[in-house]
Amino acid sequence: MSKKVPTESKIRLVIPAKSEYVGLARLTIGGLVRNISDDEEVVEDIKLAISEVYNNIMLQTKAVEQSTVNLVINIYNDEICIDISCSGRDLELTALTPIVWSEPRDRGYGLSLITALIDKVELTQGPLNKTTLRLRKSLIV
Amino acid sequence: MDLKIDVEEKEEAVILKLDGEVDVYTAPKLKSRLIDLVDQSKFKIIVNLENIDFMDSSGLGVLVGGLKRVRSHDGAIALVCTQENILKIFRITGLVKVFPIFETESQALQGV
Repeated sequence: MSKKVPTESKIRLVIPAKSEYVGLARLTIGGLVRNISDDEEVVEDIKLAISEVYNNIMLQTKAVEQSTVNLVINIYNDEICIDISCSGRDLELTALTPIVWSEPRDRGYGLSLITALIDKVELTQGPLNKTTLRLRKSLIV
Repeated sequence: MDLKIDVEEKEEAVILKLDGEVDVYTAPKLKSRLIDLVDQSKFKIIVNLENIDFMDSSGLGVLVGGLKRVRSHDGAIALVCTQENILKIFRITGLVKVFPIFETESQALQGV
């Protein structure tokens, strides 16, 4: 593993909670992870998970202008931990168990993908009692 | 980030060739194109995902929505995809059982 970003780093990103910025969020996180892991599957898994979280936030914040998605990325020796919260409205991922549909649905796949791709997904209470979604993913293959 | 959609009619089917990324921002473009095809009575659709760099559940949702629309007219949607990172999301969500997925357009034309 060639690491170009020092371990024990903390990086903060604040991105507008608008659909046109999801690509920017994904590419920024992807570029960062690519600098700490040579495993392209890890990079793609994290990019997809971030995109899914963003989708969820988009659904919740449609009516809230000026909302931002706040990402705090902690890089450890063998793990990346990403805390995601949203200004303007609390995250409402109250249930982290994916729903199994009896027939194909045109929505509701995001949580299944996040929990399948990320090693540990948890909801925590951040500053000011804001709900934060924490994603932990091992960088070791 | 953009999504380019080329439309080509072959035999009795319409092939949508996607190029770019399918996410919450670009998926409405694909949805609109699928709705247009159904409105034009095109019910056999092949979606070629070979040039897709990225797709998330927004894209899955649009494809499932399109499938429901064509099925109500006895139609079908088949996919062309060999990219592991795209196939992975169909496997995780169980949609490999819903969409026939082929390696080439010619195979999809025979299977749709």
